[in-house]
Amino acid sequence: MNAIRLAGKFRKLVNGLEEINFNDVSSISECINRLEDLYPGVKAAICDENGEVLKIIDIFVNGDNIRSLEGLSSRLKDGDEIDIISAFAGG
Amino acid sequence: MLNEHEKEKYNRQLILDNFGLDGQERLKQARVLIAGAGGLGSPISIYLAAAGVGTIRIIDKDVVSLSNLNRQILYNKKDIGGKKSLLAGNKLKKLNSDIKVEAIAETIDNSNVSQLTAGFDIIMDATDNFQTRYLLNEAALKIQIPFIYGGIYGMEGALTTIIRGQSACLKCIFPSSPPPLPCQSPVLGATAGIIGCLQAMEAIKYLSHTGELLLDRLLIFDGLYMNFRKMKLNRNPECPDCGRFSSRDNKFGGFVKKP
Ligand SMILES: [Zn+2]
Repeated sequence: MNAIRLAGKFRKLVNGLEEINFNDVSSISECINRLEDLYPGVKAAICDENGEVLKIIDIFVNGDNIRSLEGLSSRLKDGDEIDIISAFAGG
Repeated sequence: MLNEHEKEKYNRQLILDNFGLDGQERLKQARVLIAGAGGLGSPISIYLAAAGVGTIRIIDKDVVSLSNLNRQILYNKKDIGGKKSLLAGNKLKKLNSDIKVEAIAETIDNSNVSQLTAGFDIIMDATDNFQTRYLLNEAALKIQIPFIYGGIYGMEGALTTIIRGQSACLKCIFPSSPPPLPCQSPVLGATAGIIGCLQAMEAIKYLSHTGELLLDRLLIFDGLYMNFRKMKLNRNPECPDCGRFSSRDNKFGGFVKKP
């Protein structure tokens, strides 16, 4: 199982849940597609029209940024935790 | 040198392990710039003033409005309509008359950022937008002083400590800025308190040479479910702001430790 958390203003896209759990998810892009199936609008908030992750978004697998892994193709194994955050701008 | 009055006033932090008279003396000599006197600027400035930071410059162009008062604890109802920086300056001087406070009612922009930051030891991010944050990030990298990023939204927030050559910078973390928040974006005062206090903690640790700094880590606070998580950050070798600075290119010697 994989736990996915969306922080900040994205949380309302997943009805305010602390985390979403998926079984057998193999990559970050698959994870985003499955989120989109359940919660339409998530993908458009995270990715641009070419499907690339927006530069105001950071996605972490077990605390490692996917920019230092393999981006959207980063593989996931059972138990990996995914954090999706947008820049916190308020002060 | 600390006088007897100061030794008594700061006694409870002087007896901290690894802090002592040296740490307090360093705080007294320190010059801290606080960019913003709102939700984050309130707890940051109050705790730094109370701790005895010798010089605080607080910058904000805004005036106090009623809907600020749920989180901007520097102000009260009588302050509505008044300039935040000047009111904050007065409040901080009352809180600690042994420190110097400079209040500046300006907007930080490209034309004044160098002059406003020159001669300071650290920059505290208490702004509410990424345009200003990027300017401060660049200024701090240029003059080799730390920049303590903090940001909040609703019951959540994040912070990290940025030091040239030692950590990812704000542009490495967020290469492009989110669109400005609508003025009515949600925020709970306690969220600003938590993130602002953690930023103040980082500044005091850096200035007094105590503990380890939050370098290359983004600490994310989720108040709704009460979770704290640390995400690892990496420098982007192609970062337009910090890519050209080598990791040996810093003046902090052995003190700065990574987690
Ligand atoms: Zn950078």
